Amino acid sequence: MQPEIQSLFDAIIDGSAKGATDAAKNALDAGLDPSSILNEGMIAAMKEVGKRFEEGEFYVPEMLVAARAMQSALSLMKPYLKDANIQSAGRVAIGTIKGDLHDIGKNLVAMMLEGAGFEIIDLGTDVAPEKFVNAVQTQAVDLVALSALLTTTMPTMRTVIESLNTAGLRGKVKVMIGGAPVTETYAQQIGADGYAPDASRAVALAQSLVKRA
Amino acid sequence: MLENRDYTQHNEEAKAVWEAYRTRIPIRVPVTLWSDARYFLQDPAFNPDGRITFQDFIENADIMMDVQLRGAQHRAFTVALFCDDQAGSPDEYHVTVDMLRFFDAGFFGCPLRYCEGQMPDTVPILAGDQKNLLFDKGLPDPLSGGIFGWAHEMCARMMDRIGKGFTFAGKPVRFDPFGLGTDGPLTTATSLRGTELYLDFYTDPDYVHQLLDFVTSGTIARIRAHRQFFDLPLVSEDWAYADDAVQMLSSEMVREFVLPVHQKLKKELSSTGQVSLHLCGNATRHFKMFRDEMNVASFDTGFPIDFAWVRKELGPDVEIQGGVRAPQLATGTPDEIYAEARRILESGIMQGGRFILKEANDLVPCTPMENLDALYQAARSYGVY
Repeated sequence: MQPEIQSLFDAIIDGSAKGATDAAKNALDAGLDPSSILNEGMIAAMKEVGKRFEEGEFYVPEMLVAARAMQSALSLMKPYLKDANIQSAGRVAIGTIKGDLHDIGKNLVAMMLEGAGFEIIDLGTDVAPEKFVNAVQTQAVDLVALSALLTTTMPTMRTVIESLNTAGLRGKVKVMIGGAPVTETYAQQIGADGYAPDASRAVALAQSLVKRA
Repeated sequence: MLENRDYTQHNEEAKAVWEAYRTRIPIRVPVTLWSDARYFLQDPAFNPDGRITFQDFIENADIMMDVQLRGAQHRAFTVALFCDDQAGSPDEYHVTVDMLRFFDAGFFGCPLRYCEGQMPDTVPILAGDQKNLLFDKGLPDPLSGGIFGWAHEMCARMMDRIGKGFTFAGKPVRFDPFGLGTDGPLTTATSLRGTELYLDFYTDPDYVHQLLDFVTSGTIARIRAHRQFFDLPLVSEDWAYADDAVQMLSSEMVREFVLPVHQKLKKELSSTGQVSLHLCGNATRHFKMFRDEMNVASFDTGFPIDFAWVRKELGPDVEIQGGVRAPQLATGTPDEIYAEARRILESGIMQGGRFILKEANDLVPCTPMENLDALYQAARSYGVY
């Protein structure tokens, strides 16, 4: 790995926003390929963050601070990525389900997905089914990600899927679900395409569901 | 089947199970089932068409009393039969000011937000550049801060009705004190600041310490003021509290940031008695620390839980409350519930006789009674010592 890219990788793992921005700038100044900087320095770092989370080495603060560092570097990189015509991994509409105001899990998943190269449309909390449908209709969404913390709001996940069906959109978009009370069995019961137990595994699931040419 | 239950037999069995448990000569794992106002308000059989909204419940003392009383009556003839509660008509009924899960953040001034058909929640007031807002304002009044002003108006109305001889189903009604508990400093700070709090742990750790200390000081003042208001001892022997948000931190961070404020709560509010701690979510990695540093002798758990590991980690003397996941209890078949309860009971968790089987965590509205029965019967078959 090029030393500039290694510095970027390390800064993201360390959660240093300034370090990540400086390293990304150095990498660009050194004439390195934006695609390599993105994939080897940034996406690889966030993959490592996810791995450390799964292994119990990182927890929510470590993930958030790394994701923030990644976002700082990404802001700098965006014009270069656009010029190089580098495509995102997919477009995700994410939100906490109607009636539920909890957003830490949703935010974490959104940040980790962004760190994996996805474009994020964050619909926020207390999101009505029709808002998810509208996002799919108007924003070329590849994947809908639904979050719920309350057992009493979980059933609305099924309503979102039914609404996508009714709108004739279900075949055009994948749906993944997550949140404390949700399980793989529940995902199957309501016709979701997948379930992830945490933010790290949400990335792997999203990548398996959205495979862009 | 339910109508044919023999309440006397059930009640005698339940009483014997609890007495044996408390005297440390257990005969069977006790079963408890916790339900809150949601369980009733979101059940169409109890509240057809959602006619009583959460806003009605929260803003109208008479409606709150009515829901609590009818809920207790309903429970006494249904849920109570599938756990080791006393079933059938109680000798007296109890009401209180129920602030659901928003009392901690509401005390510090977080506004309530109602979502249709759902329990209200609070909105963070310290997000973004408002992070120091509360420090500028100072601690809320311990009795009337935030939503507690409203709570005391509700309290006055309820006590006035009871004072005038109000009864329910021919039985006396008692008012239970409120404002005496906490869902924990970190959980409260999370409600106040939102997701950003978890960035603050790295970007502004002094702020996290300051906010947790502020929240803890306010909580102590509020609880002590309510103990005084209700003529209770200012220092209690035992102490029960929660702090679900610790599941989001490493044990090192819990030890550095959270444990000191937990210890402060305990020091100010209780003597040397037993501490009970509710921690739902994936927080078992912290249990041993809380046992050793906080003298926690009872853990009320949610999910996920590896029961065999927890018992091995904590030893036989620590009480563990836990059981089948509430969502599974609501949506599974009786056979699945029975099998899951059996799996838990056979995990090794019963070693030492300090296990209580329950729903994990809070009964979901409309959970089938057949599933509750399956849980209970599993305890009666596989929870015997």
